Amino acid sequence: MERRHFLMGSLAASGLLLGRDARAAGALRGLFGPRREGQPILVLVELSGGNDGLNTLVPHGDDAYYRARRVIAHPRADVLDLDGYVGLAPQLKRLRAEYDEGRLAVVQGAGYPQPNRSHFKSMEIWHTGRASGRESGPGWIGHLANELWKDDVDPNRLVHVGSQLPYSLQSRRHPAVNLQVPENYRWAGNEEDIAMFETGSSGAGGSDSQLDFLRGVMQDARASSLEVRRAVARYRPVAEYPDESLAQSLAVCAALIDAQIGCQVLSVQQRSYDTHANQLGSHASLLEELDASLAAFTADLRAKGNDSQVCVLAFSEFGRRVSENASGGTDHGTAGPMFVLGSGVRGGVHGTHPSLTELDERGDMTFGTDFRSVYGTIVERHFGVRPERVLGARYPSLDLLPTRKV
Amino acid sequence: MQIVQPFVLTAAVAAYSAFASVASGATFDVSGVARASATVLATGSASVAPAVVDRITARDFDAAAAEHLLNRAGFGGTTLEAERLARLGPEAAVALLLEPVRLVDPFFLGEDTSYRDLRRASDARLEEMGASEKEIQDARRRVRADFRKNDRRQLATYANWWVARMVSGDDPVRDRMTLFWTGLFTSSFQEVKNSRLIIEQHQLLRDGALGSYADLLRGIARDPAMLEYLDAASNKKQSPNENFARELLELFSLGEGHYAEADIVAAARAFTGWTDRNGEFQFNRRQHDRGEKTFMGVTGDLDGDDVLEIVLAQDRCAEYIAGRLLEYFEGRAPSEARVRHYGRVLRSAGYEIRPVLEELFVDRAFYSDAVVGQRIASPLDFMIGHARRIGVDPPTGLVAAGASSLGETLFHPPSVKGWDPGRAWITTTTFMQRGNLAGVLVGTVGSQEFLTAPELGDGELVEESQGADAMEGEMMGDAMMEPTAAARRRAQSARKDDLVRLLDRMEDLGWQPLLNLSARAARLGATNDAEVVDLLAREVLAVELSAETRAELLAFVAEERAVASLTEDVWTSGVADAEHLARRLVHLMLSLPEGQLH
Repeated sequence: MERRHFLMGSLAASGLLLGRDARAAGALRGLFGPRREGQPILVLVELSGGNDGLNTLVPHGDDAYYRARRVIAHPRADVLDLDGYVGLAPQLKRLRAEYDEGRLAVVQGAGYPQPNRSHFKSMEIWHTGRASGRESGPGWIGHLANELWKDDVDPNRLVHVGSQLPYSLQSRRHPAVNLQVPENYRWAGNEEDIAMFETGSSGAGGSDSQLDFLRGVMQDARASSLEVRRAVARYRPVAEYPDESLAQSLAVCAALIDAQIGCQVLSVQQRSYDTHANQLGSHASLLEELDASLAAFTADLRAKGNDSQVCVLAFSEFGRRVSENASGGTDHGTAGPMFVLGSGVRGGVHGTHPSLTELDERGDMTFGTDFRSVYGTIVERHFGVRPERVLGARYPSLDLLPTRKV
Repeated sequence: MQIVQPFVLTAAVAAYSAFASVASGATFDVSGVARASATVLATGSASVAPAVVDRITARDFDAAAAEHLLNRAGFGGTTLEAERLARLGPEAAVALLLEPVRLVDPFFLGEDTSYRDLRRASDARLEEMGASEKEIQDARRRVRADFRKNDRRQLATYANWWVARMVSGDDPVRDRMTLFWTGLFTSSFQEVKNSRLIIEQHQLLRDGALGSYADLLRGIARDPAMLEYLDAASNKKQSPNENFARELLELFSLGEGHYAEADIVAAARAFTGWTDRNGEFQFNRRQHDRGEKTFMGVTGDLDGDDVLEIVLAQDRCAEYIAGRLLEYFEGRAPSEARVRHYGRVLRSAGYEIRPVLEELFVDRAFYSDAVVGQRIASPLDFMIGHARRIGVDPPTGLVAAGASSLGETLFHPPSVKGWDPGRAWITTTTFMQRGNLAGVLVGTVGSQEFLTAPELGDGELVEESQGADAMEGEMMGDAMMEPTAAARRRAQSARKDDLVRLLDRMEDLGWQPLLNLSARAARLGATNDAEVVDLLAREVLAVELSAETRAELLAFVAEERAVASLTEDVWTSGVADAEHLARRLVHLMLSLPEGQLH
């Protein structure tokens, strides 16, 4: 599929071509590509810093939780119970409503063997789905992109809204769009001048000529920059998004999804989960922000009729130690919950919760579900790709999504 | 410069092997040593008469060739510098570039206080005051946060020091080679978490950048930052950690496919007990495995030094390093024949780097069409090379932050493999960001260019969607809409963009590029649009303009003049309009595909 689209029309429409439209019209006449509807979309929400899983999905039915956390435990009466043993933190009221509607799947105790407690290393493992991390090659989404699209490059498919591209989206064949602020995803000061130049073919990665390759990227950049900014500028969210950056990033995602410009994996981050000290207030406000942001996002998707194709996956590089520390915080731990959210999701509590008393030598839980089972299920049932092609190995599927024939 | 002849190496192999056998007391695999020695001898005989490379002649060493040399051996230069170099002829030009330079502004490390010392002091102070455990813990966190902040600051200061060397230092080949070594012997501050160790490693690489690879390898194997980075502390007799051994063979010396897994296991055992303590190398005898090991066919009670010498005795080691050098400097995979040839050169020079560069930089193949102007500039090369060609001295912080925004953060390689070169640098995001940074270098892009763009909030890109085919008919104002609350918020958040914040800071400090491109064009004899385009393209680009690109650049200039009601006389008038136009022209050139190559 090759998309030759727009430019001319949109530049003219935006008034950017005043004074030069005659030449530009000749040079750049083109049409919009087909709107790419109905494609499966994944939104990754990375909770960076190591989210305290036990204070997010709270094992309120276990006295061991209250013994281990005398200062920071959520009182039993405040926990939003799910199954009698675990419940959501009091701040996650809107997610609880999603759960009640059957749209939220909670995977408890997700982790991996021989857990690494370094933020960097552990995140690498989550980003690649491989114990060796970056040494193994591209990120897991990069692998997925290779399986889904082979050499058919479309610049908008992978998008990270944030400052630094997570390694999961790292792909040589399908480089991701990385934008911090969509309005600045452009040439500043000479965009209209650049529109005059000869372009190459989108995705000229196969060409031996460096110039051909670069011209292809320039073409992709022009297209992508305009499509992304137009999508965001035109979008009228139905839901009220909070002011915080996570919500604002998700609002950008909603706009990109609604514009049907080919974005299929979008990624956002929420930082500051590294709560070593006095975490009661700070963790609660992080969860409040997460709850309000995700609720606004999913409500918006539903109102626009975009929800059926979208699956949201929230994860963190590790959970935190079962016992609180002396500073009213928690130190780096191992397993933690993952959340899968969407209209097509099979809601409920999945997996088994790790024991709070049979701990490893550091006082950490042993994971109950390999996080790659969650990845694999999404790869297989959402994208219709054989999970071992993406993850390098087969992990047991979970009943998070309806089965789909691969 | 000491040139170690092949027979010396042979003797060295025999010497350490003998040592190994003595040390281990009994087991000594004679056949293994015989093999190792035979390999060395074979190399020795082959290097008696190494094939001579086809050298570039003085006639072919024109300004373009000299510019290529400046781009690759250093960090680029102006056309004037290239012309001067060309007049010297290839041999003298290379000799000049490789001339040892002793004048280096020193970098002074801050007071060497470890976090542990600070923590102890804090604990003691609070305990004396009768503080609670919680207060002590909280204080420790503050101490730790302060320590980290100061440590990052020291590394940033050092990064600025190095950037200044690369931008305007007097020893560009050394700094170019240092960049090469930091990509080969990688360590990341992210994991080492100690600026002093990272800086000392960098100084090790920089001091030895043009010396002997063998010395660098020996140094890096004892380098505390490397030992930290590759988990030496957990490489113990009872539970060897193979991380360093694996990277040593795979990335630092032989390359994949030139050793067996068993060699990694043996090497890891040989390096057990090599660790660092308080920022110094330390050999921990108790954690060292003194058992018998067989590494690359040599058996004995081998230790880390033995492993290094066995590795250095392999032909493949020199070939691997030669191949990495060729690929780095030429921007493409070299032929097997050339890898073997340069491997022999490196080997017969006792692993001294300088003779290899002396030969490579006069090698006709280095100046071939497949090489010149065909390498995609790395982010640092983009920033520094263009600054040098344009003739502007940018703030070091801009170079470092700009390169970082393009994917290359100093002292933070993405993995132990270093940075992927070439096309891996280019995405739609970085391609556009490169153009914007070029605009910053010539002063046509400031934070206002981002913040007052028409599409930020005033509705120009906001029109009702009328379906794909109706776009052409849409004109501005047809369907203007009020910016939404979200759009207003995002307009605010545009200020938070990393580059925008950097530009704000630069503007606060009153930074302006000191340059006069139009005067330079006039001095070079440009009197009309075509001459200005051609001369400035020659000044700032490493590749020839295609006819189409040149025509568009000419149209751009003509139209800009028309809009401003200027005639072509503007180029000889010396007015500010000419300079503004020249800067916009250069900004545009560097935003194009041609501006990414060097």
